[in-house]
Amino acid sequence: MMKYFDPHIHMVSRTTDDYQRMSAAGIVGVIEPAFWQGQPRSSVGSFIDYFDTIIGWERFRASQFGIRHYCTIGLNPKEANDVSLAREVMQVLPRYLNKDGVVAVGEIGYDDITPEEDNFLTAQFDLAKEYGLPVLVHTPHRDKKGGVQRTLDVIRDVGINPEMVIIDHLNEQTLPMVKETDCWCGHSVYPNTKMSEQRMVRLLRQYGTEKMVVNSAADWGVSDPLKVPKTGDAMRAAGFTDAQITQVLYANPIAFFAQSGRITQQEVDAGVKIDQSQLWQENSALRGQEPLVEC
Amino acid sequence: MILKENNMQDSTMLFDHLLLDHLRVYLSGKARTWFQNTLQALAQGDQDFFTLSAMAKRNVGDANLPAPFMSWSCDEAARVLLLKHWLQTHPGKKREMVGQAYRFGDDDEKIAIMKGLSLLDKTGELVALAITAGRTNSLALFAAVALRNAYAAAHYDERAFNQLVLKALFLGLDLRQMSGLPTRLNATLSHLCLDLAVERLAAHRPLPKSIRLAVAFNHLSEQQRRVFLNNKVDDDEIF
Repeated sequence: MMKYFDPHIHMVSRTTDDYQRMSAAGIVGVIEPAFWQGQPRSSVGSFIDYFDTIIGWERFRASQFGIRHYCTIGLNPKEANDVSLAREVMQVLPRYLNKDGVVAVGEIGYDDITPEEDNFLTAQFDLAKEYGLPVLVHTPHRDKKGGVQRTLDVIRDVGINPEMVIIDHLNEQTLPMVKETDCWCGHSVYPNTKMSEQRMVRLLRQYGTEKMVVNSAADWGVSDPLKVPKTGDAMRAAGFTDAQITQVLYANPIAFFAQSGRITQQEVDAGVKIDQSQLWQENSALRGQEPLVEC
Repeated sequence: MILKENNMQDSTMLFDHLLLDHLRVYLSGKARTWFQNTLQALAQGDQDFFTLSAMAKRNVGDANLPAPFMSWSCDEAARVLLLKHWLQTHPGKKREMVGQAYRFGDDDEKIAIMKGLSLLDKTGELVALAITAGRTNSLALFAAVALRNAYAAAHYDERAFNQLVLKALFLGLDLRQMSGLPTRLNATLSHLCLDLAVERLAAHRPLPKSIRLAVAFNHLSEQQRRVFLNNKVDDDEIF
């Protein structure tokens, strides 16, 4: 069965039904970006506990379904506007950026495109440079073109390598802007809004598969955690080869985030092994034996 | 009495040195250099423990050590040894420092600390932390506290130890891997297991695997013993 990788999905708001369906559809790895929770957080403790969740409990939850879970850590654009709280969050980010499985700074970007959002976006690009991490950028829901243009300007001003930046939630209007740079291009396939499988196929036909990434951005709203394999089906129906489908929906996202040094295609290929020999062994020999592998 | 304590202390110190030696020998090249350098930097107060711990797995890998430490991986051993070295720079602050290392650790770092409890603490001052860790629903972290770990049997009071055993049974873990279990059997635990067994039978489910290992049959009546002897455990007989 073809393997898929969803590099932008908020699993903390999804149920085990989703994990089961994702696993059955061939998704073997996900990246969960740090974002807001639907209502503003009131203290840095909420951020800390959320960060701990996406590096800890959610990673374990995913592993129970044979899915490798990675995350990005950052201060999201919406909450950058609560300046005193945002400053406290910036103080704790370094502790998390060091952790295994944290593959990028993100999701950062613009929401309303305010000066405060500007400041914290720039500061986090600087952090990314310092830690050698790639960056996941969210484009705003409103004034997408303005948001993308401002983002590209900041990337240039900060002097971060554009290859280390992926700009997400792109569409027919904003993709060509990013295509003029060396940044990677992310697209979120959402029911009804953002992007559909068919529109995605048309974009891939027009722009090719290089540096093109697709995700579901599934979250607490009406969204579909199977959009990546469904895009694969649409690509196949449109005449793309298996190699091209694997390129866009598996190899590309992993390659982008592998620039962090915290994820490799090899380890995603190897899958999650729930090491039975650690928990329940049928024989007296300890490790060194072949562990019972689930999934 | 004094002689006995000295022997205990000697054997655990020996364990510490053995783990360190095994890791040093097993690591090679850049991994070994990194580990040696960080131990030194920690001792001199040059580097931040939390950063070093976070980076440890990426630098030493996660391969299993050979016997007799094959239940340890390189990153676990490195993290525990780094923590031990860090503690030595601030004597008297163990509970606070280990607590912070645990709090700031990701699940793998927390697992390493739990596995290393006997290395870090000989007197039981970290019991509260271990019990907190045992509240997790994360299977690997719970197993690090409950299985192949002498700490609970050595330091938990009866109530806490019984709860650990019960939770291990609930999670379907192998009590054969629970260190020191035979030395901590007690009447209350035997009856708790009996209650659990009766509950499972009422639900037409088999008994948890290895439940019999937590029961001291001399605490039970003939009729109570039959609950364990006459009913199926999950899967095949284990003994």
